[in-house]
Amino acid sequence: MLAQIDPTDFLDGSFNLVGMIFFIFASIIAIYIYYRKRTPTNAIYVFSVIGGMLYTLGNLLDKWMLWDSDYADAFGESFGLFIGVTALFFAVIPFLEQKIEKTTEHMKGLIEAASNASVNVANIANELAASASEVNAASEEIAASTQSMTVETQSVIRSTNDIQNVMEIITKISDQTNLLALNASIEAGRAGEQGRGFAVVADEVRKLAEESKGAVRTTNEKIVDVVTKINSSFGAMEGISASTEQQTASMEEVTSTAHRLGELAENLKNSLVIKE
Amino acid sequence: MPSLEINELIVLIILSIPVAFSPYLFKKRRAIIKWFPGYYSLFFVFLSTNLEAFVAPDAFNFMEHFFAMLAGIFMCLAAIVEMYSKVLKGEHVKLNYKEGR
Repeated sequence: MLAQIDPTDFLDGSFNLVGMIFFIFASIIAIYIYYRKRTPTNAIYVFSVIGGMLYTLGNLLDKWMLWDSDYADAFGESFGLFIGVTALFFAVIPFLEQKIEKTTEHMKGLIEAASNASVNVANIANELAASASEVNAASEEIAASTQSMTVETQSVIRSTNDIQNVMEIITKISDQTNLLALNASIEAGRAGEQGRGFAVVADEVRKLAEESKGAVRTTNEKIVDVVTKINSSFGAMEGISASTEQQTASMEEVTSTAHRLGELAENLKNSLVIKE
Repeated sequence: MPSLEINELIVLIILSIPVAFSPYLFKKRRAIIKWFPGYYSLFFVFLSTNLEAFVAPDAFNFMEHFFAMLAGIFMCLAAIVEMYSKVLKGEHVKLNYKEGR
């Protein structure tokens, strides 16, 4: 059948055959490249070389009269059009890809900055939690000291109450002594001349009893003053204790918030990890 | 003398777009330069097939099929170079742009 072909058509068909063979190799390689790196540009390479292969096949079939001339011609022309369209894509897609790569690089930079910021936030949150824990420990120490001081103060108040009781006893004794001295003066007056010396002694005893009573009164007043001041200090200490407890509670909240902030920053950092 | 085919004329017009913009395309992205000999050859295939309707039909017919063969060879070479640079050497697509442009 090939013997019937015009030599010019035979040569043209040979050119197309050689071209088709190269296009077949190019197609295999382009498909392999696309298989390894699936990018739109590589897909365009595949379409271009397959289009070229089918275009040269159409021309070969036409020139060597292996198929009906009209069909072979239409086949070749169709894939010629296909080549034109892929060429148009070839001019556009690599640039779209380039834009996407640039945008991706920019986004990577932003994500990296955000990731670094979240790491810093996590570190600050950890430092804040550590500081809050230290403040908390100090507050607890203050609360313990205040509690101890409160107990001591209560003990002092009890002791002053005991002293007041002792003072009351001394007052009673001085009253009794005063009464006894008065009775002794009466009895000395009844004894007449012989009881005069005794009356002087009884009078001195009565004066001492009066002085003792005055001293006890003064001491009692001082003790009442001390107790009032201690009670005032006790109130202030209770205020300190309440404030310290409140501070401890606030610091626990700060610690908890700092831990939560740290966890959020950590989660943010993990979610911002770029998967290559 | 063969008549002018409208489909071939359309393909020539479409192919002339990347060919006309090729200097700009090379400047922006050098990685695609290897494919252009193949596309130039295809452009000349369709230029010849359109011109054979007007002048020197035998010469342009010869050129049409000769360039079709060249297109296959150039595309095959481009594919080999692409495979070597992208797959065998494991290089990524190198962008030919400067930061801040």
